[in-house]
Amino acid sequence: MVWMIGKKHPLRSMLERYLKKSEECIVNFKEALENYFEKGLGREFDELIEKTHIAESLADDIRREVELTLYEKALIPESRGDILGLLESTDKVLNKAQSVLYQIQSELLQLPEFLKEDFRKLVDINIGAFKDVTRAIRALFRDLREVRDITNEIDKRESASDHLERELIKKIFISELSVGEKILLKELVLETGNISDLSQAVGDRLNIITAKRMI
Amino acid sequence: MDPRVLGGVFLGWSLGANDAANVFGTAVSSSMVRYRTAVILTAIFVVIGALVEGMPGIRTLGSITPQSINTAFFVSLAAALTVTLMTIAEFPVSTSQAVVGGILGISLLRREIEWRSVFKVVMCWVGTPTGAALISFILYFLFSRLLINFHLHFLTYDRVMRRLLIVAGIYCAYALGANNVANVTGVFYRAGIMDASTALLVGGLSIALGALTYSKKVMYTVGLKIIPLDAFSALIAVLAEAITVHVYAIVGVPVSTSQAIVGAVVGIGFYKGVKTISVNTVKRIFLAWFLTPVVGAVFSVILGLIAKLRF
Repeated sequence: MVWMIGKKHPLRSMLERYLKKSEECIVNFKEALENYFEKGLGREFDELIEKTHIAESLADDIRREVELTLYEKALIPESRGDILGLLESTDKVLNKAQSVLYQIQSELLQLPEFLKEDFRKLVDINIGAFKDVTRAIRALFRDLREVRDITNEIDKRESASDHLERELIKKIFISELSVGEKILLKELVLETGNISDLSQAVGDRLNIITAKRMI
Repeated sequence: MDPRVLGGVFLGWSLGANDAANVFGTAVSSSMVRYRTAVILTAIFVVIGALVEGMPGIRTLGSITPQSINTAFFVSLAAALTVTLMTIAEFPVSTSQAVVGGILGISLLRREIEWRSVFKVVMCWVGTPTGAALISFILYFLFSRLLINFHLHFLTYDRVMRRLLIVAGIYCAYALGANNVANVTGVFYRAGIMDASTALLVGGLSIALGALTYSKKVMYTVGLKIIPLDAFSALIAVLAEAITVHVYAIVGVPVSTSQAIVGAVVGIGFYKGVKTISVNTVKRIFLAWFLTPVVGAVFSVILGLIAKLRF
């Protein structure tokens, strides 16, 4: 059977590098938001946004490297298409996280005190969804049977995020804030919630990839 | 060697050029296996298959009717013309049916037919697509259950599929050589101008030459038409085709690899509950199934009459 399976595939270590860089990006995203919750807008927040951006760019570079390797090391077309699609959809999650930070920065958003606790929870749920994505991708290269359990967890987090988003939006519109502020904060909530929506899309893709190989 | 043997060599060459697509077509056209690797493996294993297990088919074709060097030449020529005509008309042509049609034409002129052999051959033609469909259905069921027990992850699955496709292709090339060599030199062996080992070697080499020199275009076009399926289904289809054609090589009846792979794909469709081949394709296959031996017989009768052979 060894001749059939062969040596460790070079793609595996590259994908691991990509996943580590993606996780670094999402950790920086969390740090930036923690800083924002505590200290609001400022130089430190800007620096953490830049740190997140650098990690995202590096993850992008590794993704392109993987894409080239896919052709050079010639996976079967079916697998090639699956990996390309998977990385592109994962990249969308990172882009979304980055755009949430840019939204706060460019719109000079001030988060009212009464929203902070729920917003923290929302961020945690969405970051958890992305961490599950990286776990599920790792499982794809370890044991296909584990993938489904992890994607189920992503689904649960996405539902929890949806629920919390509705609660937050209700709180925003009940408050005394101006209409303009209400709309901007609502958008921020929805954009943050998109992280788990996009994570769920990656999860769906992973389920299809797995199902095809579980015959 | 008599130059009229070249008729057989030409037929073998066109058979190799056409049928290599049924061996590695899906794997090559979807970039799972390199064209170069595919044709070299096809050439090697076609010759091995012909040498090791080609004899029963040669005996069967020889038993339909006696041959002289002239009739053998006309059978080959009639078969080659039939294959060309049917290919131009874009029918999925079977060289085996064309050759048997040619032999039947000569037999009719001679009024010497061994009907038992003809019946055996025709029954096997019926059994080719149906047998391949049944085998692919069973293989899909068994292999999918077997594969799931290995708990392969993404990359090992990819590797295993690629390697199994090569193994299945090699087996299919072997089966093609074993089964179809009789089409190429069977009549010349019966005419007594070749001994058994020469007939098997010349036949195998002619098919290999066709695969090596002129199979690229067919492989890319036909390969894509055959299976727009996933790697696992492609593997099962080629394996079912190989087993079917190999069984008939053992039985000693040359059959069509094209019909075998179409049957195999239909079998996978049945298993998955999806339609893999259009009704129009099936209609054309059935039409070709009847037309090919008839056209082959007509050509050989015409050639025989033109040459005013003494039967």
